[in-house]
Amino acid sequence: MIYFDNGATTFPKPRCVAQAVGSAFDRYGANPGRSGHAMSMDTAIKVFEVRDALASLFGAQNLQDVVFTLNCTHAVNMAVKGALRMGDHVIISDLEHNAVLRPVHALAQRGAITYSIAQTFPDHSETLASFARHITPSTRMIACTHASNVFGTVLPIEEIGKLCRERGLLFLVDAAQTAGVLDVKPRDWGIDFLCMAGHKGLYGPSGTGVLITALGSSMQTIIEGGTGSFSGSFDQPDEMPDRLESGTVNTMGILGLGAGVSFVREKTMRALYTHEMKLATEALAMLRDIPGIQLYTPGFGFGSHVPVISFNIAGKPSEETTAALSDKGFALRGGLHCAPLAHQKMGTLETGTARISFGAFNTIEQVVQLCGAINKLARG
Amino acid sequence: MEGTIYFNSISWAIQAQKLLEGQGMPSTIRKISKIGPSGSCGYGLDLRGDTDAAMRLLEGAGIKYIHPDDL
Repeated sequence: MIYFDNGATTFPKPRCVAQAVGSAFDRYGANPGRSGHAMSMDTAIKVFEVRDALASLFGAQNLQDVVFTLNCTHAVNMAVKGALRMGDHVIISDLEHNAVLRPVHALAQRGAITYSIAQTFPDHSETLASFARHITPSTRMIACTHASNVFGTVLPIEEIGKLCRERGLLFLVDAAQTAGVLDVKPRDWGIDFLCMAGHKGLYGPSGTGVLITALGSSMQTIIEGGTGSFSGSFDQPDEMPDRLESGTVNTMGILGLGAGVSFVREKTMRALYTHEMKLATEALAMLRDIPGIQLYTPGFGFGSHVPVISFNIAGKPSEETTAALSDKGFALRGGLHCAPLAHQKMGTLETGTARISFGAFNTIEQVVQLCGAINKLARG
Repeated sequence: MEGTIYFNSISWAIQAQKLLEGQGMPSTIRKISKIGPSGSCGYGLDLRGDTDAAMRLLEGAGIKYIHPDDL
């Protein structure tokens, strides 16, 4: 199978990730730090090293601000439900994945908060103005994606962060599609909650995610439990990262994530992004020449997009397209991609889109093969 | 000289260990079931070096430990 579904999760993983997970099974199988024996301590040190590597990669002030989660959705839920209070107003964008939309909407449905949806535009100043227009005296947070998982559009989060700082707002960024792909600087850009998947651009195993926040000690918790610290107390500890890491962490996954982070650092984000965007640009050029192909990102380019392309074959539902491509050995995702707002914006709510999302291990030969297959499908 | 510095969280204890090792102060970490009068569990960093100097280094680096006055 030729895999173009890296927006869902990256595949394959670098060899070093499998090796790290294997070594975790063989040598670091204890509960990290919870017990006093040597393997527990050795495992804790390995987990610490991954936390440290992530803190370094994202410029976190303290490595204790790095929290391991199950995935990006888990991180977003912790931040949204942990930081917001009754009566708060939140602004999200019109490109949000359900990871942001659903927890915000759920709180609104319960009458806890209200929210508005800011429009996004190719012109970043218009996007900023849209966010600013929605700010009210009750607004407490802007929560938005760094890049659309459907159309690849990158939002101006550095400028949105500046807006949040100026207006005293919390800023949550869903970096599911950009962590490990584009540079993200939470401290410099005023990001209070940086939420990311470990299993996409960071090439870790599924079941890993990260939340980076300096506000953890003051957040309400959505999960309480054993932390291996303050065990005599009935209260969840304030001290980070323990406060937001109840129960046993996914040690095998975390060690694999550490190897993925090493892979990204070794290859460099710039080189990986350049490689993937070149493939995406070539694919777009080939798709444009196929009659009956609908494309949705006229201004696709370096810096303004991540390597994600959506398309449709005229008259064909997207899932039918991706099913046919799967029969021919190509892994793409069709449908709404858990992002109904984005499809509503682009007018693709009825059909969804077929999505090509590129990764480190895709090649130009694979792109040529894929576009050839799409060409055949489009011509019937 | 030898001494022990106490931590609530394994993460802080390991960070302290790495910092102090870099300063020529080796140590080992052990789990402790009861620390001080509160009786909370935590971690002890058994240090081979000047404990006071170590605590100053930790404070300078912003590393959270349990102050001896709080034990």
